Formats: sequence, C-alpha cells, structure tokens
Amino acid sequence: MLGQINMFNKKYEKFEITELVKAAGHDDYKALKELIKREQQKIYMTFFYLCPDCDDISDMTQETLIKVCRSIKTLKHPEAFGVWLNKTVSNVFYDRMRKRKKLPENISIECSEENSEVLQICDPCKLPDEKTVNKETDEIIKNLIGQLPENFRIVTVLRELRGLSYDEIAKITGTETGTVKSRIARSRNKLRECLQPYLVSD
Amino acid sequence: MNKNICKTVLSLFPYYSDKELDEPLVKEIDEHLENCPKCRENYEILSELVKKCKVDNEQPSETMKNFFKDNLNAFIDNELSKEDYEKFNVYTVNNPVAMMELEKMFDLKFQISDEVERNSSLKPVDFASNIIDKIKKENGDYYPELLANFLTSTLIFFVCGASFILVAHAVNII
Repeated sequence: MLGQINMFNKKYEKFEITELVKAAGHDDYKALKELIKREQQKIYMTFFYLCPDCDDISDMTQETLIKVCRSIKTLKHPEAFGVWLNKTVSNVFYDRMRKRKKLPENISIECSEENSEVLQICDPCKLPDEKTVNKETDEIIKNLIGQLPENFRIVTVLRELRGLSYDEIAKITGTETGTVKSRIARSRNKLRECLQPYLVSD
Repeated sequence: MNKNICKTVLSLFPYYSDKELDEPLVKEIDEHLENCPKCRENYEILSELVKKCKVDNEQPSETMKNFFKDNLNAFIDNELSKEDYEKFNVYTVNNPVAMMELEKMFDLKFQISDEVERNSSLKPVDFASNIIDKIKKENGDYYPELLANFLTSTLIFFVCGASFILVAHAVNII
C-alpha cells in the first residue's frame, strides 16, 4: 500500500532490463520485483514445454527466480543477464532430470537415439485422437515436443521459447553449433510430420 | 534499424521476390527497403544473383537439393552465413517445390509460437511478491522494512488526523 502512495516511486516499468539488473544488484527490491514480473511467465512456459511429466513446474520456476535473485549481485556484466538467466533455467532443468533418473551429478544426459535414423516420437497412444482434437489443440505441440528425447527437446524449446541463437544454445548445452543445427532440423521435421493430420487446411 | 524486422524481411525474401505476399505485407517490406540501406543492398545483391541463376538454371542437382534440406531450418532461424544465405535464396526462388517446403516450415514455426502464446495466457503466473518477501527475509530486510512501513503509516495517520483537527478548528466546526 505504501509503495503505491510513495510519491517518489520510480517508473520501473519503463526501465530497460540492464538498468533493472544494475539496480537490483544494488539492493533495489522494487527493481528486482519488476525483473521477476517480466521474466516469470516466459520461464514458466519454458519449463511447461521442457518437462511434460513434471507436476512441479511452479516450483521449478520459483527455484530459478530465487537463484537469480540470490546471485544477481555477482553478475559483473548486466548485459549478460539474458545469457546467465538461460543458463540457470537449463541447469534447473538438467538437475531435475538427473534427480528423476537418479544419476550422479557428473553424468550428462546422453540421448541414446542421437544417431539413430528416425526420431521415435508420435506414439499414437499418447496423442489425442481426432475426435477430441479441438479440446486438445492447445497442447498438441506441447505433447509432441514432450515426447522428443531430452537433448532434442531442450534445443527446440531454447530456440522456440527463448529465441536463443544456435551458438548460444550450443554453449548452454555443452555441444557444437552443428549438433544444435542438426537437432533442431530433425525435431522440426518430425514435428511437422506428426502434425500433418492436425493441420487446418486453408 | 530494428534487427528483428531486418531478420524477418531477409527470411521473407524468396516470397517477396516471387510476388507471393499479400499487398499489405508487400507495402511494409517496400517501406522498410526504402528506409533501411543494409536491407536494400542485400535485396539488390540477391535480385542480381537470382536473375543470373534464372538464365543458367537447369534441373536442381542432388547436391543442391541436399543443401536446401540441410539448411532450411537454419535459414528460417537466420543462422546461415552470408554466402549460404545467398545460395539458399537463389535456389529457393527458382524452385517451386523448395518454396512450398519453406512455406510449410514457416507454418510450423507460427503454429508453435501461436500455441505457446495461447498457453501462456491460459496459465498466468505471479510469484513476484512471494519471492521478494523470501529474499528480503533471507537478507534480513523483511522485518525492518515492515516496521518502517508500519511507523510511516502511523505517522501519516497522526499527521492527517492533526491536520483535520486544525482545519476543523479554524473553520469553527469544533
């Protein structure tokens, strides 16, 4: 309530991200709050698409945001906030996957289907049948992306939901740009193939 | 110039050059080309290459078909080198099958972003207040600030009360 009647309230909504990050790094809680407000929905949607079977997406989102808040003072270059945030999102995702598979920390999640000819998704049992397609249309792509192997899913989600470049995705996932390019292409081709029966004809 | 607009214009080039876009979009691109020297230069270089290729062109080779397939998604994502970008454009503009493939891939991209946007509005979240409170508690700032806010409210209440009494006294209400 007092915030609203504070006559000296800065217009945080008009701040650029870099300005918000700088201010937040100097204990400006209002700037930090504005930063959270700007990023939370996108982070939530990223996990929503990355982790189709998780029922704790809200927790993962809050965990990511809390990590960001705790470490924001240590960010030497506010311009690198975006990259750093994406790295945090990916780490939270990888940690969750490791916990679920009960793998030790230092083992990466390698995809056994990396080199196989065909991406095995579109299990007909997992897709809505055509009669329910209208109700389910909102999550068709989510379901399909969710069935991609993790290494393919993460590059697709980082590209489509976070708009990262291939180089940035390669850095975050610890691979080469060429690998990212190939995984994105294969994922999209597979998605297109599976969406054929559900495409609205013009 | 807005980098994103330039990127979009670049990826729409095959359709723009082949006159397959709707009137309003063509007008927007025309306007952008008038105001953006970089895009205008790119467009001129590409148009020349395309014209040259139309004269020389025969059946697309297997190599070119594979090049198209391997770079289709990178093209849409604006990830190709300048050289590959030109090569891709020249091939696509002259090849109706390739144009159709490109269009289908654009459709997929739009479908994905539409669905994400729809889902985003269906599931709004707001953790900001909770998280800030948690961080303030961790930093030991939560209770001091709460106390400060309480004291300020109390002070304002008394100041308003006192002002009211003074004014009322002055106008002889009390």
